Amino acid sequence: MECAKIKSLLSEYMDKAFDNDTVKEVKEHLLSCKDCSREYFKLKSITEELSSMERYRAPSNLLNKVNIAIQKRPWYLRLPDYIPGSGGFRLPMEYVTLAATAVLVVFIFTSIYIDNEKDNMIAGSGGNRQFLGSNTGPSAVSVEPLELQFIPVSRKGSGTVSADNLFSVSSGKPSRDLQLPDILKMMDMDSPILKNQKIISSLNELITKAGGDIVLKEHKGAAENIDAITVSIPKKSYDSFIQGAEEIGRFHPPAPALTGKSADQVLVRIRFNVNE
Amino acid sequence: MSNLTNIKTVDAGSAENDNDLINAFIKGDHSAFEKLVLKYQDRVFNLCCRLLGDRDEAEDSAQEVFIKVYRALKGFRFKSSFYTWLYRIVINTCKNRIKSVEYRSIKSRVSIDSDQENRGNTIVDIVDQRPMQDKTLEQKEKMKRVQEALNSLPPDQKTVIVLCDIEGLSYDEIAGITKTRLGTVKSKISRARLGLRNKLEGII
Repeated sequence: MECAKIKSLLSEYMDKAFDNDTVKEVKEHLLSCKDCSREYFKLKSITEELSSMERYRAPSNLLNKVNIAIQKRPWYLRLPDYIPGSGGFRLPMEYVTLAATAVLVVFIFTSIYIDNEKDNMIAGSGGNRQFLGSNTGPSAVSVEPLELQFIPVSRKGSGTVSADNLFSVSSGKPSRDLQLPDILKMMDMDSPILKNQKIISSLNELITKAGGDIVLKEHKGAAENIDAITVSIPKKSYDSFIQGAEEIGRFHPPAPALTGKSADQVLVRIRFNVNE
Repeated sequence: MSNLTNIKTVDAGSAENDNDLINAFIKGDHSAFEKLVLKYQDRVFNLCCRLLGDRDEAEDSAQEVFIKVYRALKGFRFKSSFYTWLYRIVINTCKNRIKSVEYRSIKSRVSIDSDQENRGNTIVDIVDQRPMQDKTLEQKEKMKRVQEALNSLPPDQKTVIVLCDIEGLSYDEIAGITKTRLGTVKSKISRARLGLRNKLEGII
């Protein structure tokens, strides 16, 4: 092997990451080549220096600070701590938890009922979809603390998003052959979205319901830490997509209603964990 | 008390014990969580220090890491070892902190202040403030240069080189933690070593 090739293998050779034949070949070269041998010892001395670096010890009060921070969380985040079998304890708190849960359930059902009534009023008065999720009108969907943000993608340089300037991808293949389950696998394990099964299944359902025509065009963030994906939606599936999307997140800016001039395919970016 | 030690405080092979502690925590034993914190706090803190190059940031990040662990531990699926999972949280937490506006503004202030002596709580200063008696000035200077060279590496390269050469993890473990392919890990480590070699020319 030539010196350039040997030098490119030195790092792995140091970590013994080769089969025996390659190791032997590199070793023999190093014995006969002063230049490569010098390079090898330089790299080796750097790794030795790193591995002998002093290690910092955590401050003695770290655990105390962690415990204080855990206790300082708002009451609704601490609720699971008190549920027996999920890391909790303290009998009297069971009743508090039950009562709080009951109040929560009543509140959620009431909100849904009121929201439905608002939806009916908007639909009845001939309102179009542009009003849904608009900042100026009443919100048609209740907003969860953790939600998805759907962003209509406009052409570069366009100001406000409207039906006519939605970015079109009528031709071309998806840049990546990835489906939602693949994306979820690639995401940060610590990502709050992975902890919210409701959102994951709803998003899955939403993409499936749209007829499998929706394809992933790109994703934002490093592979291990994806925080947004962009999907292309055929015009015919656009309305049902919006309807499903508004049940699990919100459009911001509001989704424009398509017209005859609109492109055949439009792009929508889906941002996970908007509130982070 | 010195915050420096040469002893690697945690045996990464004690996975079974970790699983017992996690199960105990899921059943409601808060002290099991505390045992996990005590067991891993030095590793987490050291890793944060090396990745962030700043003691205060490292302390805040280590705290944030364990709060995240507390929140997510009940959902731990035992598909990977606890420390692999923990390291992933550390790396993502540090990555987010580096990205944060606050961190960027601190770093920009530091970079404006090119004088090394004025570098607040950087790791370089920790070393200077807590001199070890058995270290010569020359060795301390060398350590300082190595940390500076580490800080100047691209984040991905810094992460893998710290995991490999400082934490002593294998290529496979690093690939699992960073969720990257083995080949990518190897090439990043190789590039990081070459980068350090160039930056430390004449020093090591």
